[in-house]
Amino acid sequence: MNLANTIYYSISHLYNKRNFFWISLVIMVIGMILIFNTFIVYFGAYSDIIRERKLLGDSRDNLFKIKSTYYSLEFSYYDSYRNFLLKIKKDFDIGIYQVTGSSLSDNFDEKIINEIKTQFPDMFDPLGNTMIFPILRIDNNLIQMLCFQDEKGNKIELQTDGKGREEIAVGCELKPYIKIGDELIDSYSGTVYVVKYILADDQVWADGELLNNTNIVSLGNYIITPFDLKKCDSYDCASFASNVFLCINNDETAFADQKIELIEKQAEQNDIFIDICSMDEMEKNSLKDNNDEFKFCFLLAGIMIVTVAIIIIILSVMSWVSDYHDIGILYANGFTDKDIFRIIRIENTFKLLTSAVVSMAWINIRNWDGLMIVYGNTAYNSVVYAGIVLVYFAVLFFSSVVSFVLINRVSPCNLLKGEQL
Amino acid sequence: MIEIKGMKKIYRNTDFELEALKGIDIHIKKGEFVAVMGESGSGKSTLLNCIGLMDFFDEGSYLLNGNQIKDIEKKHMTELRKNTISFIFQNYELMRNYTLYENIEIPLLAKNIKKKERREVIADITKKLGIETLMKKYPYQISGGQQQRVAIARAIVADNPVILADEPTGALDSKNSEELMNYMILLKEMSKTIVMVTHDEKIAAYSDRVIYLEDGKIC
Repeated sequence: MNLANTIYYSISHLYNKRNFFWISLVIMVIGMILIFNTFIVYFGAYSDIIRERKLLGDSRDNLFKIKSTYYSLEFSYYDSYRNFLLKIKKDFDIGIYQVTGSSLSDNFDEKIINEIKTQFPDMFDPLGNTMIFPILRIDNNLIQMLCFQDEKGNKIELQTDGKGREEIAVGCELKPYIKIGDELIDSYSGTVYVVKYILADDQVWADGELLNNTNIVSLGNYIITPFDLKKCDSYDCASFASNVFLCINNDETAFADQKIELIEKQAEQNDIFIDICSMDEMEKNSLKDNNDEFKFCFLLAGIMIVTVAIIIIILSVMSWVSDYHDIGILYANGFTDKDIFRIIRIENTFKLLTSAVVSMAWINIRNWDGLMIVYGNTAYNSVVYAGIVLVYFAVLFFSSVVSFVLINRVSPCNLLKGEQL
Repeated sequence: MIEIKGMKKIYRNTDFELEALKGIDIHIKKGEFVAVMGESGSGKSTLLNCIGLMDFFDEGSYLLNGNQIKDIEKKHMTELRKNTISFIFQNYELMRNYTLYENIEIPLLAKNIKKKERREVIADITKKLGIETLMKKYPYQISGGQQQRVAIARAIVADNPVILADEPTGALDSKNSEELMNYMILLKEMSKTIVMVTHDEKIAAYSDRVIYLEDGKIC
């Protein structure tokens, strides 16, 4: 039988056995996506190490990690930190600050709101018709170190109850509108801020670089809120890293020693630390940490491949074995062994191509770029995907052979009689 | 056309051996219509399967259309079957999940006939058999008589010189049986060699010659 007629019959057979086709297709697509994603996990974890290596080049000894109870980050600012980190060479802590803004509401009356608008026009957001107060989030260690004081000369100490209520200090310029004991509500997070202090009128803040004391700004209209170091999330850790960067960036200034001293003073009783280790150490640790995960990923991918392969083979064989009577009719009407084997292979190839296209489309829709398998500087998504398709091809070819061998064991007249394969 | 000498067929199992054909000698000329009769278990269908190359025989020789079958390779045997033999079965043997058109089309696909030509041939034959309007239906949607006509159409479109019919009227009433036999006569007039297995004397009477089988032997 020529190719055109073989393809014609294959399509006809697939259509008439579409239940098997759909089930096979769904299982194959799901299998492909799951196996691919499993490899992403494995290669993703391993390729981080490779990428670090590549980035570091000769500077393989300069590496640090930041960890907190809630989050772990590994940074690549090796060049910026190299000298400093080599000098410190030990675990240390550092304070966190973050300058931000929040839309706060109160039981302010119209008159007060209008006065604030007039006094601080930059704080008023006409789009949302709200007031955005500049906020300095800062941990207590740093507050004490910087010796912030209230209007009575007391040192400021702010507490958070961890249940959405935080004590705050308010800049002196806001004194006419906000009083001690007032409660302000963050309209975004719902956090309730209780005013505990009014800051002294000479309190200042270094805009951008705290420790270098450049770009000094008044804290007159600021609100100071506590920063709970022990509950750093990813965003906080990023702030922390940014703080460290700003500190170290001014390492050449006259304040360098003071900065380091300041940082070291804070290296007590805190969950955040910087761990300096060599690239080799990191690689070893990472492999050790991830060893079980690697094994699990490989095992999982292996189990999935074997499971999907078994299901594909069973379905593929079943779609033909359940056809023993029809195959007998085909033989009786001139189909040869070669024709039957060819039809099985064409059908399986069609299934393979369809499932590959569907799963590829699905992965692309679900963000292919977000699932990069990187080794060194090269992305291996396509290679891994092609590998999976190749495995499928081998499985389907095997299932074609199994189907054909089973069919071929029975004589055409017994096939017609409905003898089981 | 068909020359069989000393054909033996033995069914083997782990427990027993059954000699279904015990040295059959038959000579059927081209265009001859031969009926094979016999009791149940006499070896009629086994003989038909061996003639139709659907099963192997153990001993003897078989010359089909000038081709010696005894030592033929399986590959050549299927090619020979494709180009020489068509079947008509008692229970029609139509593929349930395929339309009648697709059922009739099968031998034409096997013979590499192009789509347009297939359509023309099928349209012509089905019109002659009066089933041209049923082509989009499935076998389970039509009567037994109609199904048998579809099976005949499938045998005719193949245009093979030998037609083997295994109790073709077995599942039909007398009216449909008579109609079927008229088609068989038509096939004979088309110079087809016909071997028909039947247990019905009336049906066998349509043939040129009757061969009686008993216990695997011609009597």
